[in-house]
Amino acid sequence: MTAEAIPLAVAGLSASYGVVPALHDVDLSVRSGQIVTLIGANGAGKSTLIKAVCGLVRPASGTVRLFGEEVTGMSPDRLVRKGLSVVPEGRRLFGEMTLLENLELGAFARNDQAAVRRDLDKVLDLFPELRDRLSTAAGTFSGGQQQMIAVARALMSAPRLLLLDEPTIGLAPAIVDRIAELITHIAGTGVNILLVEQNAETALAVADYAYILEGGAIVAHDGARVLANSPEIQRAYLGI
Amino acid sequence: MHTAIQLILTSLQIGAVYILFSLGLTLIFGVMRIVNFAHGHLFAISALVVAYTVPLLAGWNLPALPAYLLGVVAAVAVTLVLGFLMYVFGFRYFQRDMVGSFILSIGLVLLLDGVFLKVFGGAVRPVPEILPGTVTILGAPVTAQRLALCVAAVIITALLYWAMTRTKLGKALRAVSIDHEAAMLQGVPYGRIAFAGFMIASALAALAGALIAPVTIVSPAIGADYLIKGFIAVIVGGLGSVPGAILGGLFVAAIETVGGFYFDATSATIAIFLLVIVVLLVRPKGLLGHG
Ligand SMILES: Nc1ncnc2c1ncn2[C@@H]1O[C@H](COP(=O)(O)OP(=O)(O)O)[C@@H](O)[C@H]1O
Ligand SMILES: [Mg+2]
Repeated sequence: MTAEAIPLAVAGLSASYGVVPALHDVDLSVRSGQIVTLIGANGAGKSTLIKAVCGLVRPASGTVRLFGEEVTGMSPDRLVRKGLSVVPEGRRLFGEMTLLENLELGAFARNDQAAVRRDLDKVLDLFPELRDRLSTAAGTFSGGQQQMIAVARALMSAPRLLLLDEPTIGLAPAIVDRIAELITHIAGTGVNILLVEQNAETALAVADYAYILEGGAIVAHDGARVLANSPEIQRAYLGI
Repeated sequence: MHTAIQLILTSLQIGAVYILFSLGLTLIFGVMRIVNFAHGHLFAISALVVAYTVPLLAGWNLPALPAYLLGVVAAVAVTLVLGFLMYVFGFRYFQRDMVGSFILSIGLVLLLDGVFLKVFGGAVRPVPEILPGTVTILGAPVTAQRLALCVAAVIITALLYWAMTRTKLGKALRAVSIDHEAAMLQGVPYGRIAFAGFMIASALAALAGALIAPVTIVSPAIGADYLIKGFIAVIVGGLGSVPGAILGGLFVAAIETVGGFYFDATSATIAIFLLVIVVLLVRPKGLLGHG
């Protein structure tokens, strides 16, 4: 494992639910310092890819490498300790627990309490409106705020690679913009990012590199600007 | 007034044991999404060990209280070993598998019924009086033993509540109960937390059994009745909810006590089942249930 090790390298990954195939021979990488996006329609297999990477779905074949180390099939809690953090689809907050408890759980794998406290402060600086509501149950926040909490919780593990599964879905345009800015900001702090989105416009605007997933297979990949200007992608994903 | 206080005190005594019992059931369900029908046997073996060791130690001229406390230590130890074996050789392989865990726990019930009968015999075992005397509370007499049982149960429940809300393990147990995958994504090691939850539940059953032993008649079948009542308590309160288990335990105890006082035990049991039906019609997930 060197400093230049590729944060995430997925090779030949296939996965299925029973006999129903969901991913077919997917190759995808997140290189150091990049925001990479994976764009696909509903049911394309985006969440399955995230789950296969983070250990919630066991791949049928293929490999997942995290910072150069093969981690295929490793359990999610071990991957967290290797620098991976996930904002799952649908946020999956612990709704009956308080905001603070949710953030503490985000730091579950860490032992340096002083550093955790510093990170809590930093994370709350990103979301000042959450600071005086730490003892409110997470499930009672608005949809946009819950998405912020999900991101904040994921950051509490001090990740080196962050996976986000459709963080802007169902949110008002102003909040979508804020999340987009947030992702850029997080990347600026040295966190590598894989952003999974149906919202191609936002995703391509934020990302450096993009993959297009259709029916469980990668059908195109290129620089995000290049894809944003490709007529085919514009027709299929940008409604132009 | 006197009757009311007497009824409340009796409800609290019975409820205290139901609470310890249902906390264990709800913890195991919350963390592993299984129902352990052999939970009553963890409770029973603890009561049996107390009933077996206390007369033995008293026979060696040990005073009642030290004999009892040693008996409790032995009972908790034996119960934890049994719980450990159940988990390591059984339930570990049937996590989140309702049907598999159901079959396993029924098998354990049959097996342990036979083993208990063989080891402890079918006869009932009286436990000598540990704390003599009665205390008067607001004009109603309570035996010192029953009062001590209540106090101990309240302390244990309070400690568990504190641990669930204030400690890292407690927060992990709650997070796993709400969404085990999301908890794993935070770095919570599911297997270890499930094991911890199962062992805490076993310890609660052990303490409940050891506490009840001196104030009841101990037989190998003692777990069955408490299992049913504990179950009703968690279903009424909401499976997986700690406050729900406490509320449900008190609820069932109150109906049993009041119904038994004004009518008879059979009517009280029918009333409990009617209550379950009503609660589940109005709130299918129980009073405080969520997922
Ligand atoms: N738990 C599951 N069981 C069975 N099929 C599933 C499950 N999750 C997803 N699928 C199927 O796998 C395919 C990919 O789903 P998913 O990865 O969730 O897509 P996306 O996130 O791109 O919307 C879909 O056809 C979906 O119906
Ligand atoms: Mg999805």
